[in-house]
Amino acid sequence: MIKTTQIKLFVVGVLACTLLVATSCARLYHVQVTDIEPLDSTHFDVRPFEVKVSEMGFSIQEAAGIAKAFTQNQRARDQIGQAEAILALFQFGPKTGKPVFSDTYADELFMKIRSECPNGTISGLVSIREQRSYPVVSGEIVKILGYCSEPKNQDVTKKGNNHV
Amino acid sequence: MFNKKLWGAALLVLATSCALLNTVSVTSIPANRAKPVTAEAHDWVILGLNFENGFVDTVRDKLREQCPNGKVSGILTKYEHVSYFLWYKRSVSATGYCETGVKL
Repeated sequence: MIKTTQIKLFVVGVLACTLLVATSCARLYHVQVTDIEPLDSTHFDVRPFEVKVSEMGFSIQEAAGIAKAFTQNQRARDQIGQAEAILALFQFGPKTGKPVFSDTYADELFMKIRSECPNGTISGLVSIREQRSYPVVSGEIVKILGYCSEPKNQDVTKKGNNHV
Repeated sequence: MFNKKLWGAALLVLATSCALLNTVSVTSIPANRAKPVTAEAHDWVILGLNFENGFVDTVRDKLREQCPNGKVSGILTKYEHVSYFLWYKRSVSATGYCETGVKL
């Protein structure tokens, strides 16, 4: 009887943890719309595209908070607090989202946009900086929406040979 | 009497809001500014629980619809919050100028 209750509690605990980890909050930090060129659909194939890059963010404060919550020992809690305070000194200053391990993750955006529209005109770009936030970690996302206008009846063999 | 005061206080709390401007950007402004176009999209967030930013994606298409054969430039984009008691409104607005007769 006790075993059944324990198993039920374990299953409920696992489900609760899964729900907590799988549920993400979305945060929006920045939006910018750029010029929209005339999109003449009689002579051009106009198609919308979307590219996205992301990097994992990590919050030491949240990790320390969770570690403290699971620790009964006051000394251990104090030590976690001290470590958190020291690490916070290295993350001083204004932030957008949680700190990430690499600051170059958005550099590949330009190449990704170009590969979406190798021979056409790109316009109507919308730059979005957003975050998917989970406990301790986050997805730090940069998303670009745009229109690609390519001339109709274009020679397919020429595609991809134009370099900017 | 007390009830009226309570209702008044509750209404005051619910109607009080703070505006926060998050980001602003402007693109090149054309000489021909005869036809301004504007678009806005917003959503409401209750208790800070938000799972989607999709409302933003519609702004550009709304601008384009107002200038189907022209070029939209000089776009001022604003992302702002209006914060009320326990909920807030997020809105993105874009205003620009539609130039017709511009060739791609």
